[in-house]
Amino acid sequence: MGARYSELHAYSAFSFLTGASHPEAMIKRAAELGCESIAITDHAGFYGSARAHYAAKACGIRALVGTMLQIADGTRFPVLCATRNGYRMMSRHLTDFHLLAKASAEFSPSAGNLIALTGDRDGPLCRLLLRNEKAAALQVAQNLILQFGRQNVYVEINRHGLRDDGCLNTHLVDLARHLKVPLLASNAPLHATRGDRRLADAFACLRNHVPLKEAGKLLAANGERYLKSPHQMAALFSDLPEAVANTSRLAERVDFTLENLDYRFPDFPDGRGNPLSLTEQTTLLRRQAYAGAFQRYGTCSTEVKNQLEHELALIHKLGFSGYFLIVNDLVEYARGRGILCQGRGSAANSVVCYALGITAVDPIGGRLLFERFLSENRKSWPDIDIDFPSGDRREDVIQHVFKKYGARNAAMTANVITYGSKSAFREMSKVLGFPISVADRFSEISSGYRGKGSKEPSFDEGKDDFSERIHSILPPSHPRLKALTHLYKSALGMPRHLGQHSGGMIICDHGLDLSVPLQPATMPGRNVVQWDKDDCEDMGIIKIDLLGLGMLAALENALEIRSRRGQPVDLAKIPKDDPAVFKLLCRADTIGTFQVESRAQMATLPIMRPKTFYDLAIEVAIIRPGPIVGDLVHPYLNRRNGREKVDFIHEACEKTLERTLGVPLFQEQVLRMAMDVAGFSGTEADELRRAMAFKRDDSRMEQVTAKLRVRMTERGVGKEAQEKIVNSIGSFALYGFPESHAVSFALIAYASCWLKVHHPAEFYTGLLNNQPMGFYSANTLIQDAKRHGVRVMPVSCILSGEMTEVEDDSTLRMGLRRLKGLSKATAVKIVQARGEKAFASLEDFLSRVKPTSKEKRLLAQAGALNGLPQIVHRREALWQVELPLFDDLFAATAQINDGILPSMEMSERLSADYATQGASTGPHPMRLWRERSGTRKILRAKDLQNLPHGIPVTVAGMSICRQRPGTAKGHCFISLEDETGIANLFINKRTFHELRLVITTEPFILAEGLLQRSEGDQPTVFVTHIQPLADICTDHATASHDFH
Amino acid sequence: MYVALHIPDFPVAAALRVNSQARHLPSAILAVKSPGASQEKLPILSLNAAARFAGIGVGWPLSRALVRCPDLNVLARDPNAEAVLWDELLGLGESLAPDVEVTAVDTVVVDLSTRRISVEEVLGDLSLRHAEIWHARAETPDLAHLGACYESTCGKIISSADLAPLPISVLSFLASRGNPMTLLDLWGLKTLGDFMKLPRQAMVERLGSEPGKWHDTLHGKTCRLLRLHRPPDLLAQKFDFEDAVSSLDQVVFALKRLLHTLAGRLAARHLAANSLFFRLNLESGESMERRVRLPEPQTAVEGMFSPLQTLLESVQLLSGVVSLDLDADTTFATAAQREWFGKQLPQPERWSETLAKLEAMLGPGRVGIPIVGNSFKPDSFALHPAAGAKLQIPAISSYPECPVPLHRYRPPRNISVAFETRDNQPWPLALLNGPHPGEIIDRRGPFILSGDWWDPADSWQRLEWDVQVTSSHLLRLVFESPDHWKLEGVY
Repeated sequence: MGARYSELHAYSAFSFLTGASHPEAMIKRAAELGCESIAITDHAGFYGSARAHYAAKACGIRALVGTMLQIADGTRFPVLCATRNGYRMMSRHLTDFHLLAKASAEFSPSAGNLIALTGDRDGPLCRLLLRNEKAAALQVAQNLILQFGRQNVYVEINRHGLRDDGCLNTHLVDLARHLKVPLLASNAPLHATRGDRRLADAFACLRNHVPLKEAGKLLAANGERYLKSPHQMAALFSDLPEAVANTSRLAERVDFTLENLDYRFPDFPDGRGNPLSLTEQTTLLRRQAYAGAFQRYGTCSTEVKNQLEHELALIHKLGFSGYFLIVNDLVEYARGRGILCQGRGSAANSVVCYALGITAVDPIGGRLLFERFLSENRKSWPDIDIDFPSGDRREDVIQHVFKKYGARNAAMTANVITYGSKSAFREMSKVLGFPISVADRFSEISSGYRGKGSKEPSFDEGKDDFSERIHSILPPSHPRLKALTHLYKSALGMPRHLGQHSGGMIICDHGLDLSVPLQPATMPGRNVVQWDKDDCEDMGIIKIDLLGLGMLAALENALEIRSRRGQPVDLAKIPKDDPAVFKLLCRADTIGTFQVESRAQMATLPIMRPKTFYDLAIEVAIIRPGPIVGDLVHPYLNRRNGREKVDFIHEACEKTLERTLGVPLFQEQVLRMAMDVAGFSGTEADELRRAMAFKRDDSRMEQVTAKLRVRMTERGVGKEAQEKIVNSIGSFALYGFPESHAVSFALIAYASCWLKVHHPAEFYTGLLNNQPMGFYSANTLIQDAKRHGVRVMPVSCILSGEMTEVEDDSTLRMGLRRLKGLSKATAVKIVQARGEKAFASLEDFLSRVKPTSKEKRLLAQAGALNGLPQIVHRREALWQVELPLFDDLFAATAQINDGILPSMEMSERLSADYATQGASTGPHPMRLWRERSGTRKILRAKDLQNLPHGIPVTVAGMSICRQRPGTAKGHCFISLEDETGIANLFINKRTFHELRLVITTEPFILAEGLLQRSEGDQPTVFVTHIQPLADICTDHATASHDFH
Repeated sequence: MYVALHIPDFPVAAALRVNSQARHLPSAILAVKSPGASQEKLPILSLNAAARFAGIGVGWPLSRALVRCPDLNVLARDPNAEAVLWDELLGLGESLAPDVEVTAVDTVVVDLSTRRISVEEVLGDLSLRHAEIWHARAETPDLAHLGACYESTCGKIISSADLAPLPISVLSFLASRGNPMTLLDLWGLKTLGDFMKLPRQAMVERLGSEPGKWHDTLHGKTCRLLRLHRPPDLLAQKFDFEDAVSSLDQVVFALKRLLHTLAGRLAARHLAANSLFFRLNLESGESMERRVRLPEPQTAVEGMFSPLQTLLESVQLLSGVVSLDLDADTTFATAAQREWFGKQLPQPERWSETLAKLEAMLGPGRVGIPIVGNSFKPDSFALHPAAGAKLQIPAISSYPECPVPLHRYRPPRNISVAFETRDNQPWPLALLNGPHPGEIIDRRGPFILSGDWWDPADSWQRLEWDVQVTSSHLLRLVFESPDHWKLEGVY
């Protein structure tokens, strides 16, 4: 029989800058070596425990839960959670440690729940023994026994092949025998294999801010702190066999693993705050759902009633009633505060959600599949994502959750920030002593205009790519190149620190800190849990996503303006079949709208020609990297326009793919296909959904795909059909869109288009007040507004409000906050002072508002002071504001103004506008250029509309968007704006490489090429040559939206 | 009357002088160049007329310039060529009159008031090999300077009216602090004429007094004194022997003479020598050179001579000395006050002198107080400077790794060992030779040490054992990869 051994003091990379292996790697290695159990004991937390638990389950070993507990002198020792109570105590203590900086001395666990080891050389005991302070060491050990109980303290001994190991271990053995506590062997591994020592050394350097060359004894003396096999450990401790045997005994004694985590989603409380029973919750939910359904549908038809009953029964059966009530409570809170919100994701498949007002999509009308949201076979909790206007309004809701449930019962999920290509290179080159310029160069090459197209490069691809890139920076003979390559590859993907998820919130009503440790987030007033969203899902912790959406903020602003003007609009009641909206969509006049404004969307709209709301949902879903990579866009459009025969891949898919003409566009369809073609059960389909949503690596997806193939082969599905199905699933794994999600987004897209058609002034105002957002700059939005008959008035300290406002149905006035560099306080002061009494003069303005000298200059330069008495033009204001303000002498000197400076010319005013606001309400710079140059050879964007296919053309304009998506095979797309609209340019890969510098650096360009009219009759210039536009002031350029 | 001489596009002009093939190509020099840094984003520091004609401007990033002029020739800055060109410019200035001011790195202004002969003809003939030179005369040095910097005004006698068409950016030549250009640009001032038209009083109220001075300067109302250029005295000296000498005394004699001169020059400038550079040029064509760091800044001949004498006494030359070069790096002389109550050396200067002598013999960086190195590598040590800052020897924070004294073999004895391989590691069985051959009857170890893995040349790895051989000796045995066995000591 082989040796038995469990490693009970192991670090993972979640002991940031100490451990050098992923928890999964540690577990996998431990299983390979034949360890029975392993305890990952990271510093001050259970960061890696959830991943270790998941990996251990797959490897068939036990992952025990533990942590390194820090005491007042800064030393740490491992503590293992023996029972669930122990875990809860430890979790709460760690939360206290992080939130209140509470020391471990105050920590008094009840006996038997937690087990303490005395730790390695950095532990409280060894540190003293290494200094030969035996009495103090004895005292420390006795304190541990007092704190944890004699049965729960183990003296840990390590043998790392160091000369003083023998002496230290003799002391430790003596101590253990003197105190009658057991010995426990451990190698305290920092990494899984011996070779990982190099990364651990590099991390030690980063931790201590020194390069390797100067690190000296901060580095490990050797590479022995790796995970050793039971055989190795038995050989190492052959003179102390009980120390090795005790590891197995202790591991058997530890009862707790994360399998037993008792997290429970809160029950909805009654009016007095007492939790309701499940039946009571279901009754309440039924009442609210029916009330909502009557409100939504007017009368509750049999179909609606049947669906409601079906859903309510399932929700009750699965015990989710409280969840719906709590989400509804959040939505009610937001609505009560006038905060626009809308549920998205698969929740939109539920009529209960629709009736409660959580979602705005009618699943019955839209024939959406409820089972995608909730089914009896699904183990996991429903996933409801709610969009709120980004910014303060969403923060209001988040803070409400924190207040309502308490700081210890609510937290954001974490986001583990890992070493990416650039950061890994930067840090590793730094520790190796390379100059910073090497890392800068590497970063530049990395950015290399790589479009974020279909997929982030995988680790392997990243590593191959690295070899290519590094050879252009360092010669292959460089002595440290090998070390750099190794460290870079090892560091890639390693956890770096913990951030917070953009909107995932976890709540609990019986102490969330008993289930997982909390720690403060960077943003004040927020806590985060130590696990990311995937870990939380694996551990059965339910999150609600409270997401921020810029367009909702813009819509809310537009609606609020509309209401203020006495003509409120209810978005829920706008007709969904407005021909004017579909006309706008068909002519791709969608700048500023939600989801359908990108260049690719605008190119597809005239081909797709949406006629119904569902068409719009398809449009939203189709121009996504998933369908583009899966080559699904063209087949759908071809079939829709009758140029291609509808093909359902396999006869079993016909029903599922009927609505999308045989092309799987939605996630629901993909899951249904797996069920129909491969015979996946509901649970397996859910497994597939989770694998598709798992972004950390491809392993889960690979497992499910293999299973899918086996099942399809068993069911006699042909190779070709199998390939098609697997490919479409692979594409969806990256950017899959549930149908309900597409419909939810289509709703917002439709609302934005409707506002653009019917209330353009409010629409553009909302957009301008919520910049930056969307695809286009404020300047392009202003130009678009002007093309739609909206007058855009400049900033004025006499007429402008703090934010951009609507003056009348066709006029809007830019707000003071548009000025870059004007503080909010000054903007408020201007509006307040003006409200009290109109400004009598510039001096009056300056003395009452008291702007800083920079702000004075800014206001004058932007022309915001022009309306003041005696100020005729911007230069006059610029001259006058420079005069120091002396209250007593001012009157005498201020009068001296006899036209010393000339007024600004139009082009100068444009430059000043761009400098102060990044946009101008004046004419387009191309109009000025055209007037000045007098040339007629160069066509305008509008002129292209009437020209035939194949004709040579020359166009010029301001480059407002340069794109080179990964899906475009190296070709580049440019949107060129002029005074009449936007011209689309296509530059093939070869031309792009030839003219890369012109394309990427010049704000104004002149392009020659052939006009192409593709399907949809949209003109595109196939560029053959590009050059910078001569004689134009580059100050007039606005920021371009590049390479996203 | 003053005349200003100006070399347009000075850095690129200097670089092109030594690069005849590129002289007619559009060429530019970038602002900074650090190895490995991306060139594309660096701004252009200087460019020639051909590049300017292609539409490029100073300050443009290279990437943008390459768009306009794909053939742009990017030159490296050539400090030596610049120094030569500058010397020639200065020489031209001094040839006109003795009172010369170095106004800018590319411009000198000469006071012509002491000149009796008309300068007209001389100016017409002014030229530099493969570089353009512009000049302008005016009643004030600043007007002359401004006039010389622009092609449209060069060669003229400048009045205020001549400057009016020049761009407003010219004012940056006059600005001593801050950059007024942003505001002047906002005011829409395009030319010096626009600026000159501003009412002085109103402008001073807004911008302060300095622009008022520029206003006066441009109107020729102020004439400042030139900051006359005085060439620095050289410290470098050379002594040529008429015949090659082979006796030390002659060299010492010559050296002392040079040191006396050096001491005089240092005293005149209130400086002290920090280090001395010393070279003996030999008859064979070879030379022997040393840089001697002085323990403390010296002005006295003896203080400088002593370490050099030690050096001379320690060298053996194979042929006669034909000349001697001496130069010094300078610093400010220290005026240290000794501590009253602290312990100090009775004659610190002698201690310093001894150290300097040692360093002269052993070479720089080889003298100091050895301290245990901050590395696990055996025998690693560092040298702490013996003079100067106080040495802080770190207290031993841990119990000694091995409390039994070890008698070290210096150097360790290479021996042969019979061994077997266990777990991919050697396992010694017997010492086959060396001072204590015999079978190993007991052992502790291996103690594993490794380091510097990132540097293939320095990476090391060793296994140590404490072994007992049949002769009862306790030994420290070391294995170094790939296959070196050493006996490091005996306990």
